[in-house]
Amino acid sequence: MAGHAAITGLGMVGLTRDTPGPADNLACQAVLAAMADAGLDHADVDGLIVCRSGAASESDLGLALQRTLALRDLSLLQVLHGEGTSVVQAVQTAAMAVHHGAARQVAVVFADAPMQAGRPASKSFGRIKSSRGIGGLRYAAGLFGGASVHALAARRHMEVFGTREEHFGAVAIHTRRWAMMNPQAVLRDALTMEEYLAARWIAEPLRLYDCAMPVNGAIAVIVGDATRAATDAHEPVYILGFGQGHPGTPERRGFEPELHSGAAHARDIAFDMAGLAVRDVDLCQIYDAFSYMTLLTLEEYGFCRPGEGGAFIASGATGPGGSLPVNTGGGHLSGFYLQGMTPLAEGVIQARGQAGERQCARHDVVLVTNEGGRFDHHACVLLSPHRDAQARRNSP
Amino acid sequence: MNATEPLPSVDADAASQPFFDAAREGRLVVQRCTACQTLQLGNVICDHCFARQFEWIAASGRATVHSFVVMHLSYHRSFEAPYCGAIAELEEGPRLPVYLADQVRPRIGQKVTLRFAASEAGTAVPVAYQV
Repeated sequence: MAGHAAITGLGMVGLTRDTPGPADNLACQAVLAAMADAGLDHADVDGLIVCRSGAASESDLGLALQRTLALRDLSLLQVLHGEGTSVVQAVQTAAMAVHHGAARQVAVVFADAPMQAGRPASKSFGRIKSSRGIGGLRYAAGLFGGASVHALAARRHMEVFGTREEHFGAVAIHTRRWAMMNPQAVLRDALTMEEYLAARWIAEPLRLYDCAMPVNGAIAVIVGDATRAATDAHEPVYILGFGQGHPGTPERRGFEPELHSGAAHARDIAFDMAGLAVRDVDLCQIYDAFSYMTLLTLEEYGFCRPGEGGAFIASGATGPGGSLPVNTGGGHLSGFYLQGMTPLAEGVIQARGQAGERQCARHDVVLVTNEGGRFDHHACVLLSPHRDAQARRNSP
Repeated sequence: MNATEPLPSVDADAASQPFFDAAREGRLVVQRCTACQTLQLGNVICDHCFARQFEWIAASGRATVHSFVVMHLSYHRSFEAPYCGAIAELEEGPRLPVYLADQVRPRIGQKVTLRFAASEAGTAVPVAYQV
């Protein structure tokens, strides 16, 4: 019977620069940890969705993970490729399967091991994706790596709205304040504006602390039917709504692809599904591989007006003690970069009330976002410890 | 730019073959949809009216800087950091990524002109110069 899809287990492995790979070994450990967290045996898991880095191949991490895990008779098995949105897309897919009774307990996993001894991170993150066609001209232009294209986008926001480097610095500084309270975060020292501005350039206007912290590791969740929850250790985290937006904005005069993601499109679908409004959100976990993403995403969801993201963040509203906590684990910038799992895992931890020193008192509605390409792909999911967050909001 | 080093390789695909054919002859061209006249680049389907027939017309080579980035890592021997990669908006409307050969820090809206240089694949690619 179809039930209410919820995240019933969470497993986190590695999350440091020195964790040894390979990725499929880390993925296996994370799925086993998530199963244990959910109180599930091997026979209970009947679905697996595998997500990997764009730099990894099927032989690095793919469908063969089923055999590595010794899972038998799966009802759902796929590799899901959505660039940075892979994880939330996979959670959506798993939730839809569980809703229809096509599977009962689906493991969703992301694993990556880009850090190798003696190899700079830029070697892993500066690779060529496709050097064909007009899009391929970016490499002849020297635009390697995600930092280059997000820097181009950030520069447009500065030009059009007057956003300044200090606004990106505010993103980094307030995200770091949360990381200081997260034992799993990589960067836990306070960051001042002077230190932020003095750090080395990566791709102007992006500096070192505007870019994600790469690590090796894996995170898995179990998406299952909450009515069959098998553990008392924690409550299920209900999936109230989800959506995607893939704008396909033309690259020519009259369009501003650097200022427009798929967030608003995804938002409308997700909030309609959940029966909630943006003002109902208690905290956000925003995909923040680059600081500009946090700023633009807050604007696009409507937490502030277009062009005002910098001022909103600089006010402290998104930091500890603020009105809208954002990236309470330190995000990608100060926590660790495991693609779409970074915001999802923190969203689950906060929804469960298990975030310790950094726990937000209000955590009924948690927004989790994923971003891919250069604002080409957006996916979001709304999580809650309550099956019906809307009813709970309406009750006195 | 190191004039003797070819730029990173870029190959043509179905949508851009006429662009690279013209580039090999030193000509900059853009696509015009025969149904709605929208000028674009890199499409097999018109991104305005969804028709599927184009003619290729000459572009002037004049453009403005839509956005730019100053890169501080050298990923390829053609580029010595710091160097500038930009999105150039052609006078005709379509935008292209280009290397700014003679400038590290332009202004948005600044005029540039596009000329062709060789890539490692043997194709010609557009490069931007100050006006």
